Amino acid sequence: MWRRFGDLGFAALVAVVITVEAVPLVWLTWVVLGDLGHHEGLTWILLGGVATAALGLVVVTAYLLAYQTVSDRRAAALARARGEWVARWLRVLAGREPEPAGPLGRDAVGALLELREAVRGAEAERLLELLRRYGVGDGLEGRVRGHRIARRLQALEDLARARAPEAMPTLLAAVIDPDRRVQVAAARAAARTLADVEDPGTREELAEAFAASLVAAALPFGVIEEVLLLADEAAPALVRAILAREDVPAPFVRAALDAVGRLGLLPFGDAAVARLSHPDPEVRAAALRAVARLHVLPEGAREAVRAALDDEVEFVRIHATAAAALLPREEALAALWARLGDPSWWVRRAAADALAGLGRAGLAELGHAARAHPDRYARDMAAQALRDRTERVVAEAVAR
Amino acid sequence: MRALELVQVGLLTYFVVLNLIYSGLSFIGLRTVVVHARELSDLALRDLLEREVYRPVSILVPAFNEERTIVAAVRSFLALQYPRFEVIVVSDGSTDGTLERLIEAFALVEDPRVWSARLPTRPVRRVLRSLRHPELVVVDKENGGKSDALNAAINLARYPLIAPVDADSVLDAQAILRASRVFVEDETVLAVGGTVRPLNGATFRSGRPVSMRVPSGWLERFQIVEYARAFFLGRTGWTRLGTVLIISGAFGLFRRDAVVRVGGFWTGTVGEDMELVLRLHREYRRAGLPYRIVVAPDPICWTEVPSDLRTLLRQRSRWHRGLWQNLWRHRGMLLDPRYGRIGMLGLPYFWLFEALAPVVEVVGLVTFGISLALGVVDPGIFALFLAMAVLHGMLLSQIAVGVEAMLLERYPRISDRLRLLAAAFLEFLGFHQLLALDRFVATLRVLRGRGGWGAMRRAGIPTATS
Amino acid sequence: MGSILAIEDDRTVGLVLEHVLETAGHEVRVARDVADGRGALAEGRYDLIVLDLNLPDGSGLDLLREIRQGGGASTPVLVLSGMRQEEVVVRGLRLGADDYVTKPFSPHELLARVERWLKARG
Repeated sequence: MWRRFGDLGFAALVAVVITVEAVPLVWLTWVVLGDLGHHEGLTWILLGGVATAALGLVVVTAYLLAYQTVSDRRAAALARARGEWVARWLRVLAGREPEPAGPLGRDAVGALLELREAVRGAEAERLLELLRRYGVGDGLEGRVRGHRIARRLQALEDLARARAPEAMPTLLAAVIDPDRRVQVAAARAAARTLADVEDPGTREELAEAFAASLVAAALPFGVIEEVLLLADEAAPALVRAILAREDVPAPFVRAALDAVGRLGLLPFGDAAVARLSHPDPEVRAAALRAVARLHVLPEGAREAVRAALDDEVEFVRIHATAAAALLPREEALAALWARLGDPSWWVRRAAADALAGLGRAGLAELGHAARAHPDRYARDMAAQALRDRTERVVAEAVAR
Repeated sequence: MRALELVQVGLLTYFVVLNLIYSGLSFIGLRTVVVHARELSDLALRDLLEREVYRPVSILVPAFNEERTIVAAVRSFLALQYPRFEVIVVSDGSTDGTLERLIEAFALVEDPRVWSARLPTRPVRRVLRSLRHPELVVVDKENGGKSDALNAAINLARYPLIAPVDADSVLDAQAILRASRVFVEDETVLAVGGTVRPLNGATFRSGRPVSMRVPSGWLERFQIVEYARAFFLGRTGWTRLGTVLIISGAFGLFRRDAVVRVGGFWTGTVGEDMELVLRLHREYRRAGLPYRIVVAPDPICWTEVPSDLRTLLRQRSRWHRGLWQNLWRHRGMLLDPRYGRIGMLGLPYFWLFEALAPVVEVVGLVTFGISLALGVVDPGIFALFLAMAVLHGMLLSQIAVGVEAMLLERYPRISDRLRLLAAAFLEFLGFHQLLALDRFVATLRVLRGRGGWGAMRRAGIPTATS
Repeated sequence: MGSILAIEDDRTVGLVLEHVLETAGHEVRVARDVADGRGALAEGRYDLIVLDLNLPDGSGLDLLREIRQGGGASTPVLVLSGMRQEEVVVRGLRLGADDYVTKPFSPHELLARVERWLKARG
């Protein structure tokens, strides 16, 4: 999207031009307001204003024309150099070319990191070795600890590609950096790195430290969610580390429970069940979602779902309908029938969808509700859900 | 004579202060763009696309008599790079073949659905669904204006983020992706605006310009310069100051729950995009809730700008009336410290330097004309002053257009860059003054009809191209 | 030995594909986007297509649909994508993809899969 060169030069140039140009403008105001109407020196100030503006315009235009001429060529040259290095590293991997002598230039490092991002398996391991051999990780870690924000973020992005476990301490330190942008970038890099740690012991250990940093940084829900997704196979370790902590804020529990449901982490079913009556409605909803997706509802937890069906918060009731399908069949049908008459449109919709997902008995119940539910809105919703289902079946058949 | 001099001094001061603000804002804007471009993580964008981190988006397309362009527009929206979204087109009582074209092109069938009408709107006649694209919904409703159409679309929207767009716009393939990233990183964000660029002169393939040339008409060239100034420098500058007051109706991404919470789009204005943003500020500040409204430079939306003067003047007049309506409706926020930077910085600026600017400019031209005729002012000084003003304006335009050169998708020819520089100069030989006059007249119209603001006559959705 | 069309916008991945497949003796053409891919399909015949899903000018799934409805109904198509969501994989396979490999990918594994499909085709 953006060319990442020549922009800083342009910004610096503009800063100078604008500052120089402001001098006559400020002076002009001073003179005009100072001695109303006495025009001595006014001509000179105006001339100065014209001169600085003209000079600024010439300089900026010259820069832009030069930029326009060289930038396409420079971008192409950069891409070519990068491509050549990628090809060269591929030959090195295949053993058809000796490893180049260090230290590596920017293109060589960039190509190495891009390759590491593209492949996995034995080649990826070899690439990590190469990164280590040339000390790339150390250089990046040093930059992460530096001062300039753009460089720090770039280094974190590179580390996210490198996925080198030895960088974890630096990354975790960056997760609790005062700057939110650094925190987010570091959390992403740490999650991607953790995903590559295969030894279960190390993974657990790192996950615990990571969870502690995340909690300390109080990152928002979206970022925690992203971290859990990026952690891939290490996600269960991270979920465990988060749910095991006492001090963990609600967004973390929510994100962890969502991961439990999405990844189908059965061992955490109990953790979800335990939070069905959590004081935070968002957490209750997440627990219900997890329970519904895992399809586990121990007998002792049924009461919590029954209570959630009558929760005062609308979105808790919505997710309760999905979990209600796990109640004993007769009870589930009755509960969903009742929710079809909920004052909230969204709950009615969710109840109808849940019924439609309950197989033949559910569909029969929907049909019955469409005709005979005492609530008019419930009848409409049941009819709509039946139509939607028919249409979906038809659409799928057509698409095939 | 003395009075005339005082007026002149006042005008001069106004002009100088305005230009100093422009310069400062331009630098802040430029700096924000550069920082943004440097900090942007391509890897994060790709992860957003490939993993499940995204928030699904409902794209809302209000349409009134758009039979010529609607099918192509919907196709371009359906081709967006985003993992999960739906497109909701609302035909707002169209009297031409808009609906028929859509039914034909996308095999629409009636969908007798029930939905939750949280926002009141004119009656919906029917809802249609496509057999080919499960993510396309078309609403046929009675005419109620653009805001009403948008509210109807919001009622039907299924996803947590909504993106109102203009039917005559083309969204960059990654626009939604880039804007939605902001929501992932900060839960308090209510809305994200993008950059609007004129599409005249460019050819598109699936939301990407494949060839870009500066259009041949000067009017369109002037607007390219104008849009660059407004978006690359102005709005990005304001976002750095935490004071975004407008998110263009051509493209923005909002949290649906926030929009519903404040009551959706207001049907009583022709500037519904700005009004919604002001209302979000007001309601969230009143409730003491943490929130952010931002503009990012790289979710790009391409829009067709008027190529003839009459349409352009009508459009600008409408925009200016909308601006006045909104400022007046939310006048209670002006200089009220409860509204923070919005009340103390953003709104005063808009009153003084946006809404009143054309008045000052027209009055200024007239008094200087009189002064010159009466010999009160030295023609030499006047000429110097004029030269300084024009050069300053050109400089800012050139900086703005320069930001465009940093984008991968830019006008590739040197000759085009020179044409834009020429446009930045020629703009001051009449075009600029004409627009000022147009907005001055709009201001007068607003002043005359103030009592009747609530009951504005609406002729469906006003479109920039007709 | 087969002729293979890779539709892939990422330069690095394109280079890896070229390297791996050409080293194994196949002929490879890399197209950078949907339009480019369409052009390549119109010009030549291929024994196998490697297809990315997120392309700069559209979705690979649309192209897949076109391939299946057009002349290349029997050409094996191997989807190579970073999208690992179950629903996307299922949609790709339903639309007629023969195989689905997620990125990052193992070059050896990809080569083995490619050669299996080429062999099956005879």
